[in-house]
Amino acid sequence: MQNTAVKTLQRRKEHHIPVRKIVTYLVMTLYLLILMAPFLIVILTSFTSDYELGAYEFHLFPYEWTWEGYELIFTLDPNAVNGVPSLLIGFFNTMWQTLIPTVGGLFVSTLVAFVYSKFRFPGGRTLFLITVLTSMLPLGAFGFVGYLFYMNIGWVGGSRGLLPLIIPGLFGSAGTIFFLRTYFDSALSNEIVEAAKLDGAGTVRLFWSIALPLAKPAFLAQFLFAFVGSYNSYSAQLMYLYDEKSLWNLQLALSELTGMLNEGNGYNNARCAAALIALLPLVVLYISMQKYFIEGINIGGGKE
Amino acid sequence: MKAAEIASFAEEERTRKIREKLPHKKIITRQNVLCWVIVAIPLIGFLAFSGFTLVFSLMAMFCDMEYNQIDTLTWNNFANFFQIGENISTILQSIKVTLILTLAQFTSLLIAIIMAAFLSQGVKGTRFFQTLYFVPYICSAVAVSIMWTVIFGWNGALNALLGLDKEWLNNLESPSSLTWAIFISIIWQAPGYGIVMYCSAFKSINPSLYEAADLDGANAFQKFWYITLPGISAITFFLMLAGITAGLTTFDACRVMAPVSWDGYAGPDNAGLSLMYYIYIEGVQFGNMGYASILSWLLFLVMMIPSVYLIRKRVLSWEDM
Repeated sequence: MQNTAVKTLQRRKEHHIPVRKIVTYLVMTLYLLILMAPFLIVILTSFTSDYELGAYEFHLFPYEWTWEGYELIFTLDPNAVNGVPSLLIGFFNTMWQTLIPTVGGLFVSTLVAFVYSKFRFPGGRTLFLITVLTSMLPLGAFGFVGYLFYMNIGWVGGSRGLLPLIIPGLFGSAGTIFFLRTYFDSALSNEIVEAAKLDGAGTVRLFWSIALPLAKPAFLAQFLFAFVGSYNSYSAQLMYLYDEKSLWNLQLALSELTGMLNEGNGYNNARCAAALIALLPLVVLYISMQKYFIEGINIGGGKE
Repeated sequence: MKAAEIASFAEEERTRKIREKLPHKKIITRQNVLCWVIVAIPLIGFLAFSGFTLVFSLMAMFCDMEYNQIDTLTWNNFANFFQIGENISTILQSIKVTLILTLAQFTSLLIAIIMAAFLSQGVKGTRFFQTLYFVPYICSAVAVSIMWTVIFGWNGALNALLGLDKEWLNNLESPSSLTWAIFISIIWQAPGYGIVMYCSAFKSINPSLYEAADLDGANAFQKFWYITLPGISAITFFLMLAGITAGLTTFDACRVMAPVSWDGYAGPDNAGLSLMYYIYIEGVQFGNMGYASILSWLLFLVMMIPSVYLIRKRVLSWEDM
């Protein structure tokens, strides 16, 4: 009785697996094609001349391959500062405007999470609860109204527009603190901390030589996603740095350049080229560190 | 069980209070002060930046200002609120666009579940597919929107593929085709994160549950409904919240795919005007911060509904800790 049941099960499996496998591969490949098709179209468009795009009906592969699109984004750039193309300025600005708040804020968040996790002090529980609650308020709705406050304290206009983009991030993020505290609770045992304290290690040493090295995987996960978010940030720069071209980040430079090129609906090759140039650094970073990205999501990093 | 936990928690609290009252236990020690200073940093940041933003916008709602200077506030008898009535059709339009774009986030979630289910079949090359599925997610909304405006262009790939001659992004006869173009760009980009989350959620479901169901003769749908779905409910809840937040605050894609025209419209019939975009145009571009504050607070209150649910859940689970 049991034997026949096992046999039918095996037979069913033998019969089902190839079909299932084929369907799986088919669906996965189809979805991959849907995701990759826009990239392919845009890459091919970027190598087609503007004349060809306007004079002929849509065709996937250019009749004549050309770098024209890539040259146009430098020669037609209306936002170049002292001859330096805005995309290049944007890239360098993105790097430092991204790294300072990301690294600084992450360092503060780690320190705060460590204290909450390993020290008992009066009011600790309540303060932690309040901190976590602040992270759950949907403050995204006030993104543009913040302008009113920063304008009134003189943080708007010219290079002062950098202040609202950088300073608030340096105070750490409540969501990151919650995530890292949970991480410290499970990854760093209280015994190790107590032993180190008995050995005379001060708070600072405990943090530098025990907590920080241990938090590396969580730290990296948070850093990667904060970096991606900051690299792709657009609305805040649009609001605070619009009148200071030399401080534009990559996304703002990209949107202004392609918006300008779009007047008259021409230059699609240049618009594609600009978008691809802006995407390339992050895609390369992702491909070379994809393991950490995927792991980062799995241990709960990424979103708050 | 629950009562016992509460009792033990209360006991703990009581002993701590007693201990804190004992004279020989000093509260102000060097270490405690250091701890307070450190944990105060994010709270000070919150009060200084978010706190003042909330207070300023609250005051701006009920007052007139000269050039948005806060020291020129004068009470204006709810004049800002009357603007809601004057602009009600624009507000309703922006709410409609915002809801469609929030729907895009839910659609992405559905795509993520389906694709993660296929990725979890355990066939070779899964890792390769998963890695590439994530690529659109890290791309910036600005670049993605530019890519899709080219594809949706009149002489673009989509018209060629469908054999159409349609104007998608600036069509006065059917303006909403612009909204749906933005919708497409979002469901192309957004599912990557959910796919990875669901893949790990599927992995964490105990495989012996499926074996038992196999022996009981359950079909694939029953297995999905009774085993898989309950196993991924926590992740789904989390992703839905994140999706609602992202959907209701959509801005970048709208601003790039529907640039503001000289008369202040975002695309034909405001088909690209999300609520955040409307707040940006009114508040930052026209300097009408009082009215923009009202819209922001409305959006905030709507977003609070799911957040309150999350807060209750988090607080409860934290008290159990």
